[in-house]
Amino acid sequence: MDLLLMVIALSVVILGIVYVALYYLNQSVDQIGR
Amino acid sequence: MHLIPQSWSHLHILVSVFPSVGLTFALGFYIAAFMTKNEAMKRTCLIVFGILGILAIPTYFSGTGSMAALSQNPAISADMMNTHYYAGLLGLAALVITGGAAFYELWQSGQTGRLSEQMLKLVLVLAAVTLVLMAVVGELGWEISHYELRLTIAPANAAISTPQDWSHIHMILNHFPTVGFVFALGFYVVALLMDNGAMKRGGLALFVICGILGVPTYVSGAASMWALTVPPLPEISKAVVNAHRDMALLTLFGLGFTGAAAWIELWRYRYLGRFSNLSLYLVLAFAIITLGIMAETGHRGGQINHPEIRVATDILPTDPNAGWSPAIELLINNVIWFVPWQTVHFFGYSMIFGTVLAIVLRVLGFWKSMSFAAVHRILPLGVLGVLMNVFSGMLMMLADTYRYVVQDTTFAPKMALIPIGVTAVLYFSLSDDIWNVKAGEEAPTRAKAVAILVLLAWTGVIIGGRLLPYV
Repeated sequence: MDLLLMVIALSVVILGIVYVALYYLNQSVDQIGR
Repeated sequence: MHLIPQSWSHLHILVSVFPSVGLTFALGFYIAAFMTKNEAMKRTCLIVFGILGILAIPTYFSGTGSMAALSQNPAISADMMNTHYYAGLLGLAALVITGGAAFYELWQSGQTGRLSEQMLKLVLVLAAVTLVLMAVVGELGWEISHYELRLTIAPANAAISTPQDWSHIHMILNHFPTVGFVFALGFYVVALLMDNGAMKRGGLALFVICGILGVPTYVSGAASMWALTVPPLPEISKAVVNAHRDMALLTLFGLGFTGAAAWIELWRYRYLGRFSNLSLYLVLAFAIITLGIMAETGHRGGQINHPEIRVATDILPTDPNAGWSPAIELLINNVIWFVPWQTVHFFGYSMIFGTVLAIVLRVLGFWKSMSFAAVHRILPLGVLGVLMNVFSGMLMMLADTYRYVVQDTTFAPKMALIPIGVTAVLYFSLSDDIWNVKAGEEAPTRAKAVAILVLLAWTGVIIGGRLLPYV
């Protein structure tokens, strides 16, 4: 059970960081032409 | 730490890597200057060749000083020193000629107002010849005091020993991200001062290359640790190795952050058509911090097997269990830490391979209704995957470095394919030919060849990784 929670927690945290990083990276290049 | 050398041997070890390993990077920039037809970059490279030529002086005198000091040591072969000395004279002569030709070209361009194409090509050929000579001289040089490279495995120790080839590979490899980083930083600062776009891109690209070279360097270092400590060799202390390893861990992080920040700026440049000064200076700050950590890592690495450079004020660690690396090894061996990081590693490679597949297939001719710029947009997904996997992979490796690096036969090819895969992907961020491929257009043949290389490299990485525990 502990292992399952740990896998889920780490996956959510890491993929969350990736999502936020990609979101801001894309936003920074979308600003051209506005 | 004493970074300022206090003996000829120490100075020689430090200074000699610049005209040898450093020449590789100067030559790389010089070729890039030809490809981008960038005059300022060519001139900067000529100055660098000239400076490397001048470095022949401290290299020669520190070398003869070291010979005098080491001739007292019965463990050092006089024959090997002599061979290195005479080969070194030849290498340094070539270096001085290259430097002289570079300075002459700069002088004559000052007189005539333009660079002579023939002379530029002559410098290129001279530098290439010097590099080959320096590689031979370097090899003859570090064999002098690294007796362990000549050790063969005793039959009684066959089950536990690690081949010294690893120490040899680590010794060669570790100079590339370190010396290369000094050159990258130097070029980058000049690029910022001169506000030269092509040089900025060159500097950023070299930060990325140095970043990814950190991976095989760290891994070969782990293997050398086993080669030097099991069975133990005289003069080698596990505690000193661990002190080096802890710093190497920080260096890997520094290289990763600098490389990733540099790559992101290369990627954004494509869409914005200009660099953001904030990002450029952020990369500079990362690079300066990383260089500091790397200098300490290199120094601690040198302390492992160079008793001749130690001074009385050096206090070397004695507890083999102290430091972060042994602590991480203990922690990561718990299933509750290992498996979650393994899960992250799998997410990471899904991201890398998914990105690679989409881009490679477009380049090869699938989905031609999309321009290359459209698929280029997803590259950061793969780069974030690489970052995730460098760190999760490094943690997993620390659970059992001996098994991974020494016993698992597919680990070394996997580590060799990672830098190839990443550097090839760098082509997609730098090449203008491929960037200009519009919707409906065919990609150039060269891009297709790189795409196939990228696909094969990453397929190899996955196969190598999956086979780890079994082959």
